[in-house]
Amino acid sequence: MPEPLLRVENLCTYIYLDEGVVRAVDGASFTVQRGQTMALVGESGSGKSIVAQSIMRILPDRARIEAGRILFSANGDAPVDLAALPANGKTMRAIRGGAISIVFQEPMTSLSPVHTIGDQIGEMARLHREASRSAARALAVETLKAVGFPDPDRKVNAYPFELSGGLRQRAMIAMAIVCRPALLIADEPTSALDVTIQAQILDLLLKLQREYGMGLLIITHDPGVVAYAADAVTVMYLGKVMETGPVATLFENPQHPYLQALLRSTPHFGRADGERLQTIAGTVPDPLVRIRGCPFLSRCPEGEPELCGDAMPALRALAPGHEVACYKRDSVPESAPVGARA
Amino acid sequence: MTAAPATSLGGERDSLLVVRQLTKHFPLFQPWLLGLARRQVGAIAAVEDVSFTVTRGETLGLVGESGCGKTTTARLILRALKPTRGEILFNSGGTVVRVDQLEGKALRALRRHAQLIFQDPYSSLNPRMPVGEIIAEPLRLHGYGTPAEIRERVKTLMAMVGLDVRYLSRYPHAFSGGQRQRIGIARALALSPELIVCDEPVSALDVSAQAQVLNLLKDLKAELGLTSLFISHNLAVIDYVADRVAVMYAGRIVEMASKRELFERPKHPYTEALLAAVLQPDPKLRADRQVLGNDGQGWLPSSNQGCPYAPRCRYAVDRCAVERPELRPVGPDHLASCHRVDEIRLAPLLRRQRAAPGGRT
Ligand SMILES: Nc1ncnc2c1ncn2[C@@H]1O[C@H](COP(=O)(O)OP(=O)(O)OP(=O)(O)O)[C@@H](O)[C@H]1O
Ligand SMILES: Nc1ncnc2c1ncn2[C@@H]1O[C@H](COP(=O)(O)OP(=O)(O)OP(=O)(O)O)[C@@H](O)[C@H]1O
Ligand code: SF4
Ligand code: SF4
Ligand SMILES: [Mg+2]
Ligand SMILES: [Mg+2]
Repeated sequence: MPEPLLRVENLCTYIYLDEGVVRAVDGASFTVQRGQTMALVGESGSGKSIVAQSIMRILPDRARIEAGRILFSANGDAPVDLAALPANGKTMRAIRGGAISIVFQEPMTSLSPVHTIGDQIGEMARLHREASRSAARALAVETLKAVGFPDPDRKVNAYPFELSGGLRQRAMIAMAIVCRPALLIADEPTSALDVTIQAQILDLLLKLQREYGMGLLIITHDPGVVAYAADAVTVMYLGKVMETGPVATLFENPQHPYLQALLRSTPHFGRADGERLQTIAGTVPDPLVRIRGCPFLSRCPEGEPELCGDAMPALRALAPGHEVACYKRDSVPESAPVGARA
Repeated sequence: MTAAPATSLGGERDSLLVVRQLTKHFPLFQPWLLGLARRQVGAIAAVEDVSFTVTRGETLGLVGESGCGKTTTARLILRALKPTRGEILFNSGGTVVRVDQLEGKALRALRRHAQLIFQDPYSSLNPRMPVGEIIAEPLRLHGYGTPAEIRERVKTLMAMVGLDVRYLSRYPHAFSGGQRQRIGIARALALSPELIVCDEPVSALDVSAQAQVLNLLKDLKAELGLTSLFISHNLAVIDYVADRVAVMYAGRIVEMASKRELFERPKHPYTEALLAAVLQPDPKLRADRQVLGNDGQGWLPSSNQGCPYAPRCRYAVDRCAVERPELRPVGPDHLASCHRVDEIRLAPLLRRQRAAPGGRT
């Protein structure tokens, strides 16, 4: 087996607040293969953004990686453990924005309001690729073209405030891909956009991924985005990975009780009149309260306190590449799928 | 509601709400005198000539992109804003009220009959008030009854929306997003309104909380016969709650039909673009999704007289640049505003599963 692009192993990132410790990421493991799109999904607060910030080493001051490894191999060589590098050391600074880059939900978090988009994209190229001033500018125009900017020769001189939300998102993507990263992380890249624009941006990310052979780690809570864009899915709940595997398997034959419930509660078209959405009982537990056993126990229809309450179930492989963390799932049942569709 | 002139609702007998040529222009200012003052340089037509009817007991969905005027329409109907022009007729218990002309006390009385549920469950509740007080406030303001009666009503409302009455004295911060939205709904229902306007009520919620709130709204509709105007950008949500759908673009309604008709026989190119952008939670469908690349890159410039969608429309012809299409009947209970309705065949929502292994190509 060739070395995968990214292997996150037992990652634990905790946040130290005055009120206590939030185990924002608590033993997460998943793998992104080269050229693949992995979707990281889960409800608000499940730790998706903290995973991304751990990989990029841009965590808030109060957060610390406590354990685990983030093994990254840009071109198949022996991997580096990003978790072990100094966050602001030379290696990490070269990787950040170079071999790995990130786009956020809100473009203005990465675009400066006082510089033209051309200068900002060019600056990335000068920093990471040691391009000359004129080469950087040419690269900026070329990249704007690649992200579908209308009239890139002229728009290269535009300031972010002169652009629509969708174009700003494209400018941020241009900045993220100008150095041809091996891994692009997109944290809710389309949630703030209108539906027609959302679909365009997603199509753009997928097109760039194919052209550049990038790995894409896409963070979203929208099952529609996952179904459309992802090759594989990792489902998080309260800082832990509940299930990970190929997209078709997870939608058609989801195994973890949480994923099964999540898919049943997603609105989709073509329901019979009067048919109701199924809901998940209760709410996500307080992140400040430490849970020893399975974090889903308080809401799980199959949970048994004696079985599930003492220790977190380990991720176990049901099939190659398909792993589930649940005491009640030893193997994939042969019977009919428990899928989302009615 | 009293003290407002009665107007005929025409033949539309069980219409609860009739809106005619509703228009709202916001003044557009520019800094002036080195930013010390500002002057008006024009107007934004946030809502332009919007007309529709909501029948008693029905849910009308309102969809469209950001800035197309959905919230402004909602605020006009509830008279949080004064219309620039147009009529809003509200049929409350046989008395028809011209909402657009209401002032003062009569306007406050309207709140008994029409209520708004907001998108943001975090900012729409007073953080310094316990939940019981938040729900009781409209009851007090409208002189609902004795303190004991109000307390009873609050408990009934909490039970109705599935909140534990033991939480009565908790503050909003102690609730999850879905629970906060329930508090907002209980408050909106306190005075038994006939109409509720829901402005993106589940957009800020996670899938699981969203399902709870959508089911709740559906149950309340069945139990209380609520009539509602439901704004959302999520067409799957609209499909779940609405009976009819109005599509807005740039301040105008460009298409309106029953949801089935709209999803299966769209007649306006913008509706087609919206349907094509839907990402269904089914990986088998993705190979079939059409990419309507042209949306957003049409060839016609925008103009004041032409079709507002022309600059983005992949079907635009010269006529579209100079002549504005009227909203007109194009099928059973189906209105659309496009010159080329009879010439173009638009793609419906993709909903069937076809065998499409191997994912996208
Ligand atoms: N800067 C921060 N300071 C304190 N706590 C934080 C911070 N960022 C995240 N957290 C906490 O860490 C946990 C995980 O948060 P994270 O932002 O990773 O969630 P998420 O899955 O990205 O959610 P969302 O879908 O809402 O973006 C949550 O309990 C959150 O409150
Ligand atoms: N108080 C105001 N003053 C000036 N302009 C306004 C005001 N309120 C809204 N607008 C403008 O009117 C237009 C319609 O806004 P509106 O909030 O109704 O859109 P919307 O369809 O609800 O959008 P969204 O989906 O983003 O909520 C926009 O161009 C907006 O900038
Ligand atoms: S381990 Fe137990 S509580 Fe957790 S998901 Fe499985 S059955 Fe439910
Ligand atoms: S009138 Fe013309 S521009 Fe407008 S939607 Fe129809 S075809 Fe497109
Ligand atoms: Mg996040
Ligand atoms: Mg709005």
